[in-house]
Amino acid sequence: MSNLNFNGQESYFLELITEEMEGVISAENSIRLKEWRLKSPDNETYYLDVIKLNEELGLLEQYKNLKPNESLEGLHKKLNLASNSTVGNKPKVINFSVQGWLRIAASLILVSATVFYFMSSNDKVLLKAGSVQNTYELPDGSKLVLNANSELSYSKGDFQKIRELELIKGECFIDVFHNPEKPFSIHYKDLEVTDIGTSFNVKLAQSQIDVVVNTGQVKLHIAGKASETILNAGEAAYYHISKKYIKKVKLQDSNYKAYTDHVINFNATALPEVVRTLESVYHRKIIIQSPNLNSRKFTGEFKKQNIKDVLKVIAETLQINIVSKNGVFYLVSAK
Amino acid sequence: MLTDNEILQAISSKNQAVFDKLYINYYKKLYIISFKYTRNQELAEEAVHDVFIKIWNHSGNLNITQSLSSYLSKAVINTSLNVLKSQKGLFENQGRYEREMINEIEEEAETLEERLINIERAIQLLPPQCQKVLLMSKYEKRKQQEIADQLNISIKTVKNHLTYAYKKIKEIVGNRGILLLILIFIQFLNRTF
Repeated sequence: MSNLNFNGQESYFLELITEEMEGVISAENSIRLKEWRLKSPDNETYYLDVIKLNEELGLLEQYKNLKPNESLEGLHKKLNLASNSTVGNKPKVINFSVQGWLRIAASLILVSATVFYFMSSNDKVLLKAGSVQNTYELPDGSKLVLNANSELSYSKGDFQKIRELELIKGECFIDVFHNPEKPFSIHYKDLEVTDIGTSFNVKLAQSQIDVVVNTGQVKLHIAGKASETILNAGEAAYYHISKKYIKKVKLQDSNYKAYTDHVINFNATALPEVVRTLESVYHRKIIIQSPNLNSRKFTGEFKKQNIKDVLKVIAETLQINIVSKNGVFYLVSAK
Repeated sequence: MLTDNEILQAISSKNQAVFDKLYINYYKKLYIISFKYTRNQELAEEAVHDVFIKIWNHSGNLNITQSLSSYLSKAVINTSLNVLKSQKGLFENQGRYEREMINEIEEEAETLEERLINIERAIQLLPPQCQKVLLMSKYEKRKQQEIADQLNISIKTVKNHLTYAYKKIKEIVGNRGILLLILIFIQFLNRTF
């Protein structure tokens, strides 16, 4: 238990690991990290520990949101049992010997809880997609596809009068049930996107919100500003969240709604771009292992295929190998 | 407190209160084990249900040699892996879960809940801003640049917070954890009072 490289070196590679986990690691650093892992078994163990911790942090989020009583009700239904038995509402807590410490911690918990606790009072409906996308029909008949790791909410009572959605995070595709008397809008902070009979996609990206119109027309409006931006079918725009401006752009990504229908088109698309698209559609990690593959281009169309089949087609076309390990796909040169 | 045998006996004579209590006690632990493998909320829920349906219907005939707790963990792992097999094509990672790995999986599963609770505690020990950055990154799935923009700090600071968070949590829940926890606790008391 020596105090090995507990400062500079460790921090440096830990930073690279977090960058890799987020998928923002540069090619150079990615190679550096790989070399470091190969250098000693300790490094590799360290790496795997961080990956495991990262996975468990994800599980913790799930864990904390579990509701045993609600689940028990579901089980009762399956077993045809009555649900009025008086089981205490106490979830299982592993006893922690230092009670006082818990009290101190409680104040800290409050701080963190406010970050992600959602006010479940009143009639707010929170829609949340976990590791896969979900499709919903809204009370007015509009169709909503919520991408994985995305959240939005609306007010149940008000929705019948004014159809307003609040994007909380992630991305959604909306096919609006047209009703000129009740405008349909989706909000994020100051930005309001109002439909004029349409289907469109809204995505909360790094510092901006991307809006793409599939059919019809939408109106973008920033709270407190007079001007509006109209987008027609096939048009796209982004809203810069902190600088508060809207800019129309050429639609770059023709696969922007592929996550909703798994219909993907590639047209002489560079492999890194292909990988990025597949990752966002299938929510699986894909790594280009051999740097010389970065310049390869792929053309083809996929309709509702699973990722394995898609990768198989790409691999055969481009003559490359696919290795699947621990849920990650690696693309490797054939030779 | 009832012993495992008494619990099973009560359930085999259809004592619903005991059954419900058993469910409430183990639901979170079993769900999270299943979720770890299925990565799907509905499937995880279903796996836990299936295990308990079996217990309700057949508790008299169950041949439980180990503790009830480890029996439940194993049952939910098996159910989850079977679900994965039947969902072929939907999940590609079942290759990971070959028979020889099952033992390792079972050991890990038994302690998963405890580890999660320890991680949660470790998070609470992080400095507030560091904690916030970690939660935004992990739970709100925000990119480092977004966090920097929103908190008005540099991306380098975001990176520092994240690495510090991982390092600390790793230390606290790792082998040296117990000692560290005590140390931090003492530090904490000194600062608080």
